[in-house]
Formats: sequence, C-alpha cells, structure tokens
Amino acid sequence: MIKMENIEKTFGGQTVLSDVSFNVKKGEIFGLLGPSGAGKTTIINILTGMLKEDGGNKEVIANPHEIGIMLDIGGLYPHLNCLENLNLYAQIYGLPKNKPMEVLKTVGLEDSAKKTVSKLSRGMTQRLALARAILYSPKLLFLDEPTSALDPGTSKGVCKLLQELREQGATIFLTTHNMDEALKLCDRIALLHDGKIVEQGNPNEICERYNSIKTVPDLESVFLQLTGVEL
Amino acid sequence: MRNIKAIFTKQLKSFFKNPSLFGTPASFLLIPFLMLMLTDAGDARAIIVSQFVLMFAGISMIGNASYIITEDRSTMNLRFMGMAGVKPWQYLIATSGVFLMVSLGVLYLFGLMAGFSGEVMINFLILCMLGIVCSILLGTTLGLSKFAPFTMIIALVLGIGPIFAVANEALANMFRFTFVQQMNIFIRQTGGTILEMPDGTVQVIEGVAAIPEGMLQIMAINVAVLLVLFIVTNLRNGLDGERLAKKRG
Ligand SMILES: Nc1ncnc2c1ncn2[C@@H]1O[C@H](COP(=O)(O)OP(=O)(O)O)[C@@H](O)[C@H]1O
Ligand SMILES: [Mg+2]
Repeated sequence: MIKMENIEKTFGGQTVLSDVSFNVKKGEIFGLLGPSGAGKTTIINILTGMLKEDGGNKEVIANPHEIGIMLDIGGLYPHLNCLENLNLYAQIYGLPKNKPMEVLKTVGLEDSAKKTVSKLSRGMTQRLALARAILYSPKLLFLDEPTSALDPGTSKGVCKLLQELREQGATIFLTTHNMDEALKLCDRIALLHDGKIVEQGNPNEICERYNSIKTVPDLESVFLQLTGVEL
Repeated sequence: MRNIKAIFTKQLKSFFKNPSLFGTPASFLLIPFLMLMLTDAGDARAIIVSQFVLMFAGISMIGNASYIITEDRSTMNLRFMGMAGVKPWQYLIATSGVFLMVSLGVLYLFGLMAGFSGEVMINFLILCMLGIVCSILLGTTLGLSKFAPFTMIIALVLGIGPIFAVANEALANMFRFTFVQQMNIFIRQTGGTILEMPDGTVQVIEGVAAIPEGMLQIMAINVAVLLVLFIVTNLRNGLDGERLAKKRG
C-alpha cells in the first residue's frame, strides 16, 4: 500500500533522510520508530504529499479522500468546539448526523463535545485530532505520535481503537518513540536512525534476532545495540 | 452543494466565535455610532459614515477574508478539505457567502446611521456590496498567495487612501478607478450641504441619491479584474492537497 525507495531529504544543507526504504502492506499496523528529531514527521509529510522528497521513489496507493491524517493538532479550529470541528468533515463526507458524536464517544470526549478546542488539554486535543482523522473511516491512516500526550490508560484505549480499525480493514502507518506500545500494537516496525532505516520487520522477531528477550522482548535494547544511542 | 453548505456553516460559526474576525467590523460599526450619538454631526454625517464604511469594506473585509484562509491553511484544513474533494470555487463561494451576508447586515446599519432610506439606501447597498465582492476577492487572493503577510498594508492603503484623496488631487487620480473610491464618492454626494457665499447669500446643494453614470461599470471592471487575479493565482495551484488528488487521478 505504501512503498518508499531510497528516499532522501535535505533541509538547507542538513540531511535528515539519506536513504529510507520500506513498504507497508495492506491491512497492517506499521510503526516507524526513532528518537525525537530522527525525521519521522518528515517521512509522513513526504508520504502525504506535504513535502517533496529530494531523491528516491515513493508510492501511496489510495485515493486522497480515503486517507486520514493526524499530524500533531493539525486539522482543528481552536475557536470552534469539538462537535463543530467534526461536523465540517462529517458534512463534506456526507456522513450520518450522529457520526461525529459516535466518534467522540470512541475517543472518550463525549462530555467535552461542546467545549472549545483552545480550552482542551493537550491530551484531549490529541484525541480530538485522532477523532477527526478516523471520522470518515479512511482506508489508510497516517498518525504522527498518536499517543505522545496521553496518559497510559487513555493510551491503551487508543491502541485498542487502532486494532479495531485494522480489523475493519484499515491500513495504519504510525510513528512513535514508545517501544512498548510498538511491540504490542504493530504488526511490523521500522527503526529510523541517522536518516536510514536500520532494521525492519515483526517487532518480536527483531527482538529475538538481537537476542534481547530476557523476560520480555525489549526493543529499547535492540535500538541501543544497533545505534549506540538510547531512545 | 454539500461541500459549500458544510464550509458555509463552519465559516459562519468561525466568524462569530473568533474576536479576530468579528472584532474590527464590530468596532468600525460602533465607533461612528458613538460619534453620531454623542455629537451633533449635522452635515458631517455622511462624511463620518463614509470613512468607516471604507475602512469596513477595505480594511476589515480584506483582512477577514485573508485571515480565514490563512487559518484554514495553517491548521492544514485547506489541505484536508482539498483531499476530501472540495474544489477551490466551492471554497470561495462558501467563504464569500458568509462575508457577503454579514456585510449586507453591517452596511444596512451603516446606511441607517447615515440617515439613508428608500432609493439612496438601495443604491448605497448595491454599490457597497459590489465593493465588498472586490474586497473578498482581493483578500482571498492575498490569503492564498505568498503575499498574505502584506494583506494589512494593502488593505490600509485601500481603506484610508480615499480619505486622503479628498484633500489631494494627485492621490484622487491614483485612486480614481478603485472600488473604494467609488464608494467614497457615492456616499459623500448623498450628503448635500449648505454653503454660505461670500456675498452673504445661502446656497443649498441637494444630496444626490442616484449612482453616478459610469460608476457601476467601473465597479464591474474592478470585480472582473480581481476575479481574473484570483483565478490566475489559485486555480493554477488549486487548494492545498489538490495536487495530490490530481496525481492519483
Ligand atoms: N520544514 C523544515 N525546515 C527545516 N528543517 C526541518 C523542517 N522539518 C523538519 N526539519 C528538521 O528535520 C529533522 C527531523 O524532524 P522531524 O521529521 O520533525 O523529526 P521527528 O518527527 O522524528 O521528531 C529535525 O532536525 C528538524 O529540525
Ligand atoms: Mg515528529
């Protein structure tokens, strides 16, 4: 569904991506892992056409209207309330009137439906951004650190939600620097370091390969072995 | 139609919920109202109102149109709407629809303040609404272009220029064919005035209610030029996200 081949990206002399290749299969949850500043958001921006790559090939097989994107708090109007924000897209996509409220329930924001976005906490805003991205049941989802501002409990809820979406046939591409979450949630992962993908595959298999399953599989130590830096 | 209705609803809510949007039009309405209430403006009525109408049509409406687009873009909604299949013309119609509706209300209040009724009021609304169309087109074009940061400067020149043009012929010539100057001329001519001649006689100059000959044509040309400017700037690039849509067929 997604293919990246030897993608390069430079920002005014600073090479952020030097050789990034991976592919994402239909119906899987694919996690892109790397520390802050590694270039994860840049990769999403390239895949969603917001940035142009400097070299390499990419392919995203999906119609633009079947793609859901959650980038930070993008897509939200600070002066409107949660429901009004979702209503805009519900109407454009011709969804039933009760759909926005339903999705708000799914992300646990039903009690804040009439709250102005600028008055929400960071974690609530993040959940609303997720709600906006999944509102129209997209076939392909790009989620940039969907759980970074959430407490562990809510975070678990979101992971469960993403698994449900996968069961309904969605392909999900997400970035994270939470190794535990990646291990539990993702079918396959890619580790990004120094502008390159240093390893990719099933997270448990990767852990086995690097012999880092002591009591539990430990992606942190794999990353440390591979790169010498901590996540 | 679905897209237009959705965006119209959103822009209308945005307008009344965001002080950055309703703030200036509201103040441009309130200030002359207070001025006229607190003083005996007499002959100066039309002049006071005309200056604020110009600032409303020039400064606040150009600024508002540009602001709302900049917000749609910086929140990435313009791109998401483009991906959802919204076309630039649908976005333009929905967004300007809201501004036109609000403007009609505001202009009517301005008209009442100036003491207009009947034919003058209707002509005033026709001419000024054409002016608002110009402002929206200009603001939208600026908002979608890389000149967005200069919107306020351009709006200031258009909103205040005609006021200075009254005192300076060279300036008057410069602004002669702009939509703001047409509005300026029209409102001033409706006022009429009483002149005391040097020989002591009194001459009454009646206000004129009709739109001067050629003025509507000048307005139409303004609209046409700005529409072409909008099309050239934006249909070529499309809304953010349109390019992606094209690539995937
Ligand atoms: N538009 C941009 N202009 C210049 N530098 C950028 C831009 N976007 C990202 N970068 C740089 O690219 C690097 C990777 O950024 P990013 O993709 O946001 O990382 P991550 O999402 O993994 O934290 C950072 O060093 C950042 O400063
Ligand atoms: Mg990032």
